[in-house]
Amino acid sequence: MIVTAPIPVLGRFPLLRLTISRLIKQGITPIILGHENEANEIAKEFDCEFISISNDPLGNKWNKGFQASKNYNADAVIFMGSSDWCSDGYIERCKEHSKNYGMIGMLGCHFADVSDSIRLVHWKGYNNNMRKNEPIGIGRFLNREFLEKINYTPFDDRINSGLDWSMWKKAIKTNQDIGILECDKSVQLLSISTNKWTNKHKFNDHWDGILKSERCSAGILQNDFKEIEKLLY
Amino acid sequence: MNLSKELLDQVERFSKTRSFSIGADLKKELNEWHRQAGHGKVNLACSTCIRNAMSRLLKSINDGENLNPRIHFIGIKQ
Repeated sequence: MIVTAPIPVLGRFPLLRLTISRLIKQGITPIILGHENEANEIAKEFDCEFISISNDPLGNKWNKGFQASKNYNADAVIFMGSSDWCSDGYIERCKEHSKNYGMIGMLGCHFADVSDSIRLVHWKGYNNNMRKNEPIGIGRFLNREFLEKINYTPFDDRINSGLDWSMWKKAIKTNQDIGILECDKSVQLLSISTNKWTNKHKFNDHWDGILKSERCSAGILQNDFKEIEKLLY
Repeated sequence: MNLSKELLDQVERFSKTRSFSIGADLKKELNEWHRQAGHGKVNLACSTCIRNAMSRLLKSINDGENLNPRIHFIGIKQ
């Protein structure tokens, strides 16, 4: 099964290297989108396609990555950022069920923050009434049938925020079956932030309880995400 | 996206009569929808803003955005 992962890049190159290396090990083909020389160099290093594109608007940047997946004859495309990792178990489950669902995802994920130590929280996802049971954006796995229906354009080209919502609306409008994975602990999604780079994760809001999340022991990352230690100072 | 029956009733009333009546809770729900749909925050003290938000919600429903998503849970609950 051919699975691609368009990865828009803006800085955070050490993390990008780890993300790409993980994806390749997991049998996924990354497609790098960006405008920085370093991103182009990293794409060459890993023998990945590099698409030169400006960061703004983000909707257009992502769409170009999804559209490039057509050239790979991809059976599915996974929606992940350069700071997002998924476990091997997650990919396996998605591949296993992809035929039956236009989109597969999870309701929550872990957020890790790396500095001289690793802090970890588990976020339960969108918990308000309106977005109840909407899978989080990270790791959404879109199958070919759904992608063909939307012409490999999951987002409104003009937007810079609200990407998850934009894709979700298309899934609902095209009447997709949505699969939510609720499996054992081997099925995990992780999003990484660090104060080395600007990020939008609002990790401290999660950590301080402003956003509803549970603090967890970073030890649980040992099984599926041990490369994270390479980001420690 | 799941809107309450009360708010949907008022949207339907607005569609038919161009008038509606919503209390504080429904205003909050409308504001939440407005924000999530990418239209920004509604000034709940301004009746024109609320009316505009209702118009957007009605349009969104007419455009088919309020269809129930077909959700399926896969696997063993943790």
